[in-house]
Amino acid sequence: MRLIQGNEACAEGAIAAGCRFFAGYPISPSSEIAEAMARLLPKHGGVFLQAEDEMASLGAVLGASLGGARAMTATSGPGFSLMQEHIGYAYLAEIPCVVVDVMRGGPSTGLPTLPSQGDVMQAQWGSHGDRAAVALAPSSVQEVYDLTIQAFGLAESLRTPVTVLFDEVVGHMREGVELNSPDPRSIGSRPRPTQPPGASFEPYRANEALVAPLPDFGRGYRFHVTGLMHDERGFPTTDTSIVAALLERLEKKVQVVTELVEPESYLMDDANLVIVSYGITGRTAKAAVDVLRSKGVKAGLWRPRLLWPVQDGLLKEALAKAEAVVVVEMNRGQWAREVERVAHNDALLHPLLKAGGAVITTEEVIDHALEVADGLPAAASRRVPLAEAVSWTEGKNQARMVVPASTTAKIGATEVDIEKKVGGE
Amino acid sequence: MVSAANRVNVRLSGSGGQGIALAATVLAEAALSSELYATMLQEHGPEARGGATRADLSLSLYPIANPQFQVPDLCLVLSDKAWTRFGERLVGQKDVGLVVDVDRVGLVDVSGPERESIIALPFEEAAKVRIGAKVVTNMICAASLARLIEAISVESLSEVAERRSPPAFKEKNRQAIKLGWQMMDEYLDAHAPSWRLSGNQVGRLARVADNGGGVDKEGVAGSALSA
Repeated sequence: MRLIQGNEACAEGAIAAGCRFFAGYPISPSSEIAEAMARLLPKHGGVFLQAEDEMASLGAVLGASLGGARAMTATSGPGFSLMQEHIGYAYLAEIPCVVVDVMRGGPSTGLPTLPSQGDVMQAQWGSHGDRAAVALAPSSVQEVYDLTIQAFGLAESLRTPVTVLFDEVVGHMREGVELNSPDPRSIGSRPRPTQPPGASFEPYRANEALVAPLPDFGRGYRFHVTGLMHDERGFPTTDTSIVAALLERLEKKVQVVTELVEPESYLMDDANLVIVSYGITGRTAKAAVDVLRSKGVKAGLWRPRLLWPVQDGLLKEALAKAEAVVVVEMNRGQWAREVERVAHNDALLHPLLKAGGAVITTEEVIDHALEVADGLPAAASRRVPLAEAVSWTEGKNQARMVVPASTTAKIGATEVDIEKKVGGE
Repeated sequence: MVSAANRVNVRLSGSGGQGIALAATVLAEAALSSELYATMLQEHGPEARGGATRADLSLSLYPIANPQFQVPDLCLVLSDKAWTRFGERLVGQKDVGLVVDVDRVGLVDVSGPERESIIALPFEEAAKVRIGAKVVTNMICAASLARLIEAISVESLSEVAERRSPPAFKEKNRQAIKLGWQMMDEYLDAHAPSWRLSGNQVGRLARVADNGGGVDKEGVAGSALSA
């Protein structure tokens, strides 16, 4: 048992999973990952590279990966934004890599050292085009270690970028952790070509698992890596049927992930009030479930460790008996939208959302859930719009953000003026 | 306020550079080797480089669900800035213990009615005069807190402090741990603090530690979690 930070556990997990290349640009609150990788990689014959920015970092990671190394980068929101182009490229060119995003408050430079869960949608939709992202969400230091290992297993065996998403608290928290050597099966392996190099090699012809074999650069196989739509030989194409088939294969191949990552179910058997939460709020919510149970509320926690793709089937099952669903997340309602999509129509959806850098406390979850539980029998089909659920402030006793009436009037007047002007012309 | 038995929340506060985070880390590591669960959170903002900063440590018999807490059971304060930000609001609060460096925290009203709930000791002075190194103040504090918490043995603390020390400071840190423990020991002999840690967690943690650590961990009835 060692006492280490979540960020250090991430680096240890990467090394244990065989990561031998890291390129990154330091950014709070992820910097300790780079720091630990700089310390660990040389001891394991690996390479650490501090790049000039986040775009170059992921670019170097992709190059290293094509060369045969298991490779990772780590960043936070602002850097994650810069990496989006390469993440899309890695997805289409099927280059295995692990991208860690330790979330801080955004948008923009935002809150460098305060936690957030604001990059959840970005992990899925940050890069343009239709893309089936894979994103894991640990909530403890132990889980950061374990899920980083699993991220490599998934990335390698599926030839796809995998994101590990956690918040500043999980990244900086120190906790006891067992750095167990991973089961070799869990760290996965790249499918390799079965034929020798030669003109007939088709680098993007998929196997039964819909994954194409990937030889390392320099092993004699010649193939084209491109961000353009391509055929099985790797040549760019605009043949719409080939493109559609490629997009379908890439999306389908990652769906297996939903069967490989287990959510945590806590006191769910008879729960009629289900709390859905992940990351650090998954923990504060878990503590709340205990207290709610002691107050006679049949509360349970469903905590996904996989945010993308959404485990629709498992989530549906978890919510099947729920009369009320409380989604707790530190943003303006990102994953809550997914829960809303999957939840059956009769469940009362009452998210507890908070952006601004403060962790949603156990007390807040309890208060909120008690209120929801009070309204249960009468409120069978009431849905609370996400916009109404957002709390801007730390507690409900504090002032909420209010737009002064005069401002509204001014905006109104401006609108009228513009309309008049346009109408006059 | 959620307050579960079997958990102790300790806030260590001071100015950036005083070694607050390291002291908390050493306590947490020593707790792990005493078969307790421990979490440690520290501030990473600009405060950690000079302003008032803190490290929050939780010790428990059970896995800790929520590593954060609002009000600590025990709070160490090593600077005036930290007193203003973290210590002052705790004065007179029920079941909250305050430990301050008497020379560094001038803002404490020693004649006030709540004076009894504050343990004021000359940690930095002791480091300078008795060990000859101001830099080991944090280890003296860690040991003093451990003496109060009781669940962490002086041996495990000493071992962790030594392991984490650069070679030149191993002996000084070992002495610092011994001295810190002794200072609190002597204080407790002479004074009965007017406060107790809430829910008597300390005593229960300590008893488990005495019985050979976490043997009872899985077997203890009650919540599997410590909020």
